[in-house]
Amino acid sequence: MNRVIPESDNELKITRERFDGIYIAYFSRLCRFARTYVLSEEAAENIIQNVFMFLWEKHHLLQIHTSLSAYLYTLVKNKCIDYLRHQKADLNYRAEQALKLAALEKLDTGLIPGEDIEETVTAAINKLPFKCREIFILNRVEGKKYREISEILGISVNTVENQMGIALKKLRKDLEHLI
Amino acid sequence: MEEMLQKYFAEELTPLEKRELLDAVEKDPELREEFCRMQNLKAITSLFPAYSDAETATTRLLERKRKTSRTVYNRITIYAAAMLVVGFALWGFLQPLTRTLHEEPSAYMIEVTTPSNRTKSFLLGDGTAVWLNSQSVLRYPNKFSGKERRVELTGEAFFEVAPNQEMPFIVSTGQYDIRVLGTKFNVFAYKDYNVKTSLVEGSLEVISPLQEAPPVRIRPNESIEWEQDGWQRSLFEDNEFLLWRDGIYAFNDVPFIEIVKRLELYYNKTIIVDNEELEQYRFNAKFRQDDGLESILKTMRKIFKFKIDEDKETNAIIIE
Repeated sequence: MNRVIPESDNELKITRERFDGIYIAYFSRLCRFARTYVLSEEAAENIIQNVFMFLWEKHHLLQIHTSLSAYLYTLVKNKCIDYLRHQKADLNYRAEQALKLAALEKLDTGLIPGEDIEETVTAAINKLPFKCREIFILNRVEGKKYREISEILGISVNTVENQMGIALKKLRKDLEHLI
Repeated sequence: MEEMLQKYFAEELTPLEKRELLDAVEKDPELREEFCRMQNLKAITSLFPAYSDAETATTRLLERKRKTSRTVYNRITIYAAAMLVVGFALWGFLQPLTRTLHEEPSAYMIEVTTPSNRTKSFLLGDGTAVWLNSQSVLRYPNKFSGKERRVELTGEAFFEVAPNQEMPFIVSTGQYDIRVLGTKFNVFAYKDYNVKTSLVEGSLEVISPLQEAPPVRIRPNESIEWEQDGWQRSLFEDNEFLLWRDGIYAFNDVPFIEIVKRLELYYNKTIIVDNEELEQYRFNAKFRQDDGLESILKTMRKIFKFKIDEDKETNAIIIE
């Protein structure tokens, strides 16, 4: 059996045997990440497919000195910047797209050397109070609407909104240096 | 405006409200700054794993493989047609080529590790949720198959096992196996310690390291550990020892020396205590993992005076 260690693995080599594991561990999350900047699901998925295509074709040339997650994350970030710079948006979306690009160019400039963004983010989310964490994950990670969450948990839409506000405040403080 | 921003990123605004917000953001540099931060916050928090991630990715991966294998296959059929003219003999040569195109992702083991002073939570392929404490390792297959769902643990983990009557979930530790069908339990299995299993909900069996002995069943609020050659059972009244999942270390009436042993594990440090009275002094305390070792020791020092030194050579902490 092949061994895939998606985390805390320095100086790693991507081999074709490890490719499936890496794809399964990261594909969906990276799509979600890209989707927050580019304005369609399809564009986000294309960007991530291209990143993996690149890994598949060039794996023997790559020398990765950071963690795998840091490497993938930077690759995706750069591809999104490329996309936003060159994509001609519909007039209605032009302002929005410019804002997203401005945001992306500011992202993670405060990353501490050796810091793993995935780890920092996971720790910050796991530190939220239980209910708050649950609501935040349902909304931001599982993509549920406020109304759906209120039905799942049997609470009011107002409570969902308030809890989201609390979660965002705490996370914004904890992750300040990354955003 | 803060509320509008929150709604924008939750995609809860009407098109008209959205337009108004974006106009306002364009005009106000401060608001623009806040927009960028909230946007980036949304982006990085979306790196948190979701329930369905592995499943979606597997479907996409298979689609991708099917697509590439189809183009290869088309090419092969064209060649084959040409070769048929030459003779059937060559066809046999192509067969193994088409057969090597595999459709299923390969089977492999995933290993998740946690550094000191960090916990992680994630889902396994079957939907089982796992919390992993500091300095721990969990190994599990990308896809469970066969008669059981087996994972290997060093360190401490809490499991919320997805029920599956046909496939028992088994945690292998260095000392013994734990078998469950669908339940919530904690396993403390750091190297050089007795492995301790604590059941919160449901039921579980521990399998004796001695070959002949039958498995032993424990009940909720019961812990069991293997001591040299026999089981040792105990009861727990509250779930405070499980607070590590939220980054909190709780100690209820615990001797200093026991607390120190835990801190050594969690923070990957050697701590030498040279004071017998202090060793046995019992503390009631809760600490946040993020406070760090130094701050925790300093807090305890307020209750029972002691001196903290660091051995520069070995990096060990010495307490007198």
